Amino acid sequence: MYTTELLENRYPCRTDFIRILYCMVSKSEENFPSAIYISGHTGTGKTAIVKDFLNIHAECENNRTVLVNCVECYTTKILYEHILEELVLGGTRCDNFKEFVEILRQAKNVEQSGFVVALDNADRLRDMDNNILPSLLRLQEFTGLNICVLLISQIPLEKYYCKTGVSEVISLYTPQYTKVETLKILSGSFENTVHMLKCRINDNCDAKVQRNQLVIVEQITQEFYNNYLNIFLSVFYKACRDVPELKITASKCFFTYMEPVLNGNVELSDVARLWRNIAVPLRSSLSQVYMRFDKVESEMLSNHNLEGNLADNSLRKLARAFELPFYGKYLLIAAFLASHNSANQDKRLFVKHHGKQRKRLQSVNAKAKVAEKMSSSLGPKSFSLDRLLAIFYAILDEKVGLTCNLLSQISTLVHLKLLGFVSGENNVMDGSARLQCTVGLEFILYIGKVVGFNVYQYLCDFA
Amino acid sequence: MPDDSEEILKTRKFLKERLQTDYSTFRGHENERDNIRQLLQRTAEMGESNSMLLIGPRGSGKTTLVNAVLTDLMKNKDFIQNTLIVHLNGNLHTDDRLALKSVTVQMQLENATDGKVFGSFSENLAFLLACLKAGNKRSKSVVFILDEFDLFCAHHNQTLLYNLFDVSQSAQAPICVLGVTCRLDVIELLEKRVKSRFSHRQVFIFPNAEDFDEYVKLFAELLTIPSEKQLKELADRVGTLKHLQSSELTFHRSHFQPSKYKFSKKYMEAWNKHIAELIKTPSVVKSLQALFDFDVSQAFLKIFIFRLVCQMQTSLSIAEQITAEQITQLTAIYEMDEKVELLCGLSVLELCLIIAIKHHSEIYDRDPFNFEIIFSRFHKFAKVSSTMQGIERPVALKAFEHLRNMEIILPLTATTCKVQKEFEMHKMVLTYGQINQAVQRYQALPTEVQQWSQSSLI
Repeated sequence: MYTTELLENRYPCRTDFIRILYCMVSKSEENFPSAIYISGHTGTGKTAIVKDFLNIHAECENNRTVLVNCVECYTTKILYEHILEELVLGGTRCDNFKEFVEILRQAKNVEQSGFVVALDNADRLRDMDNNILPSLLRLQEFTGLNICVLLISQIPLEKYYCKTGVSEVISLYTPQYTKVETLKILSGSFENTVHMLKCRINDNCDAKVQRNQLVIVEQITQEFYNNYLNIFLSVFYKACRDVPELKITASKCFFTYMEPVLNGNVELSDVARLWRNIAVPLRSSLSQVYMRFDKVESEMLSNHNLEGNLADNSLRKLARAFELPFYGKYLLIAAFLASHNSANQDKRLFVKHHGKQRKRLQSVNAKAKVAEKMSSSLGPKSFSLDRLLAIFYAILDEKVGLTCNLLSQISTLVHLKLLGFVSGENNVMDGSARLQCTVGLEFILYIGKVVGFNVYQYLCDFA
Repeated sequence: MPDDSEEILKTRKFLKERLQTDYSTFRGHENERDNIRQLLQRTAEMGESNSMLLIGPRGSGKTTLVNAVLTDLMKNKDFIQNTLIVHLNGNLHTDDRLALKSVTVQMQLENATDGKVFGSFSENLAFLLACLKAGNKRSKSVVFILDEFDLFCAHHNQTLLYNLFDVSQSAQAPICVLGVTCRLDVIELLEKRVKSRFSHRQVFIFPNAEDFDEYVKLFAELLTIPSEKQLKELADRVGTLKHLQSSELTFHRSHFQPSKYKFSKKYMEAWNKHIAELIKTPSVVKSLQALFDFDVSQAFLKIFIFRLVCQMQTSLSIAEQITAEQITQLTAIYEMDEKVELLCGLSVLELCLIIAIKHHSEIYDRDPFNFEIIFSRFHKFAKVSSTMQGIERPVALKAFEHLRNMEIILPLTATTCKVQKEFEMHKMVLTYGQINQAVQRYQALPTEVQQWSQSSLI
């Protein structure tokens, strides 16, 4: 029972899972099940628990264990050799499953003990040879060893069923942590966070300020931290339930939360003012969750009061950063128009005297588009180089010659990933290459504003 | 009671071992069993050649049946002397070259073939069979057991099958080909020239789907401790397995050894009484009925019992060991819908995207969708809602990708880097019922989200 207690302390709220795992795969003198399938959301402790469990397992009892990540082992040969290296000790060559089984069978003669093979990201097994999954599930039968295969993956077991089915597997599900459990786990990192805060303060140079701040840090209690976590979760929990991610973000935001206290602006007990201070930074870091931009975040936190719309702002910054030349901007707009308008509308949009259009019921119906069928939601379509240049000359008022300087702008745009090749990358010269514009409407609107061009006027969806 | 705890430990070990490695106890299907035994016996004694297919769904006990027949035949001295058993598995022997190599090894003819060059596959096989004849007036008969027979049909030109069936048709050497498969249409997979050489002897075994009482009886049998006499009988039967000489078959090496165990009579009676009472409990019968409705195969039941036995603890007395509550709890696991569980573990944002997908699918009759479409639908809702405001595009995109990683939504075509990920078309692999169930079961779901899931009007 020593093992389970150790693991339960290390992984709170996973008692049931650890107990079940322990009672099935622990004593090598009793038979192991042939395969266990462990599934559940990311960040619910599947791999971490199994890894620790196997380590303890290998130390305490005379067992051989191995944990393999199927992403690392991208061919079956690497997978087999990796497993064998740990299980039978000593590098061996192994090309196919037959040899793999053969080598394991010989291991029986060496000693009588239990073997555990854990495969992380087991969904990748589906991309390997057809025989590998059914064979792994029957490894115990094939080798005659007391061997257990643990498969760890995010997706449910039913996604594996192949044509003739696979043998029965025990499947274990690790449920997502509830809000209470999440809070409990996060509050477990209280001491760690405070320690990090102290380290941060020690990095500051001024000795007097340092002393003052350290005194304040000493006053932080678990209750205070839990209060903070409640505030934190009230913002984050709806968008993210991934505990590792929450853990990182929580400790990061805690420094911002503590800043006014450390500066002496706000009392530690004044929760209401602290909340007012943290609300905006929390919301802005919510837009960064999973991204882990370290620098950008601090930048954003500093000017969050100035401008409300963060996304818009960063887009503008991006557009400015490219510093496209004048014709380059027009080429990009032309590319966008070519991507988002159908070719048969070109005449009407860009030719001055396009003649009178006869209104027919069919065309009226075609115009009555729903949002889902608009090009902005279906994505850009491809266009040829000729069409791009034609639109470019149509929307540009002045006359420019078709020089190589102009054409090189197109390749610049491709290099900047603002345009992308769809096909015919290698034969640009004969005109069969097709491109598409990869930037969104907001970006183009901004560019259009810079050069004084109304993009809406030339979009079929908005006309 | 200290002596009891030791016995319980022993019981757990015994039950586990019997469930996992009792490869040769086969129940029921007497006719089929006789059929196969006679076939193998005739091959061994009369030198007849034959071919046969054993067909049945997964977990119905095909391999166990073959093992049981072999165990029976091991009593027969004549059979041991006269036959070689060659076992091939379609999952292990993935091509004919590997299979032939394995056949050579199993016939212990590596020395004979060493350094020889063969023109064709059939020459090689003919040589192997001829070797058996040499020096003896009567050739040894060979029993070929082909597990996962359907996979051999996918080999190039079906060379192995063609040659084996060909030999079994012509009177070259007495061989018996026994194919084991779970595909009912396996005959259709055979090429014409292979099919015509096959004897078309097929044996089907299907698990008994009518008799629930039998199922309960089996459940009790797998949990009870046999008496000393029964143990001895078992040990005698298993004892003959040591005559089986095969490097490829492993079941006889790791087979469960009843002779290792001995239980005190008093304890055994107490335990068996506990089990007998257990199966009379109404809640247990109900659970078993539910299991029986899911899957009638023995393999399924064995896994279920294994999980039960795992929960035995030495610190408790017999009466507390395998309880009705444990059985109902374990049955509940089988009844749960994994996808609904998965949905309940999503964040509110991810669930909102699922609801948006649901609305889209309902309106457009399950048309495919991309992130843009779903996000704009979600955005309309988020603008007027009080809880979901302030969700930025990149966060929503991340949530969308998470759904894709969980394979709740699948891309229509294999990924091409030509399409931007916001515009890649996906389809949903959930039913509306599953989504509704998840919305109802989700803890602390904002009321407005719940209302939105009922109606797409905002």
